[in-house]
Amino acid sequence: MLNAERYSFTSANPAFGEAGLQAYLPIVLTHQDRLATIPGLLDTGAMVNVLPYQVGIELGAIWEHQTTTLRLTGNLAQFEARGLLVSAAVGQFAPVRLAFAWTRATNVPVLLSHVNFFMEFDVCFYRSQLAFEVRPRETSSSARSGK
Amino acid sequence: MISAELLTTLRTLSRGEKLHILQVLVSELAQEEAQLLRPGGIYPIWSPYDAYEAADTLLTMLNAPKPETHAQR
Repeated sequence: MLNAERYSFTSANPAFGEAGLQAYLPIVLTHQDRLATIPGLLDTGAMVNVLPYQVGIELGAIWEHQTTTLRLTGNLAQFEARGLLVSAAVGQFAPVRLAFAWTRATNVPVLLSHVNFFMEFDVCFYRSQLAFEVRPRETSSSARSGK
Repeated sequence: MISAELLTTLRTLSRGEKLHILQVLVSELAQEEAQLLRPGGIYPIWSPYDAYEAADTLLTMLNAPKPETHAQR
């Protein structure tokens, strides 16, 4: 099993002290030949990964070329969203493919959620210690090799 | 972290003093809790928490055969 990488909670809103701390994970997204390094919010309450509009643009994605339309819920329901596949690297782990709901919304963080971030990475939260650990999911080959 | 020294000091206090400290701490904790959410404040929740259809669509995208990325020249 691969060793987990440990990260600290970071302040999303200093005005709220400890209540403003959230689990943001630095992640490197690559699409075609463009990359963006950005903190992604680990959001266990969300069903899908969410990519704000400007980050998709930064990655060179073209809205009109993404033909899979998605219908989001909650505050994001008012914005159009389209499916976008990107490569994503966390720490020293091998890159994985992530599917994002690329939203027209701009004031939303990158959300890393069940489909499919948590299908690729196991995450353990230690909120009392203001830390969390991330490791790639265990595959049959990694289990055999003991990595 | 509560030090053993602090606990030792607290245990030497009278019953009245202990109750007073208890009241102060409870009051401060209640104030801190109240500050977590401000009345009238707007706290957007971006999580698409029940977007099952979108999740299913993204999984279909992931499982679709990869298109050729380099056309033959």
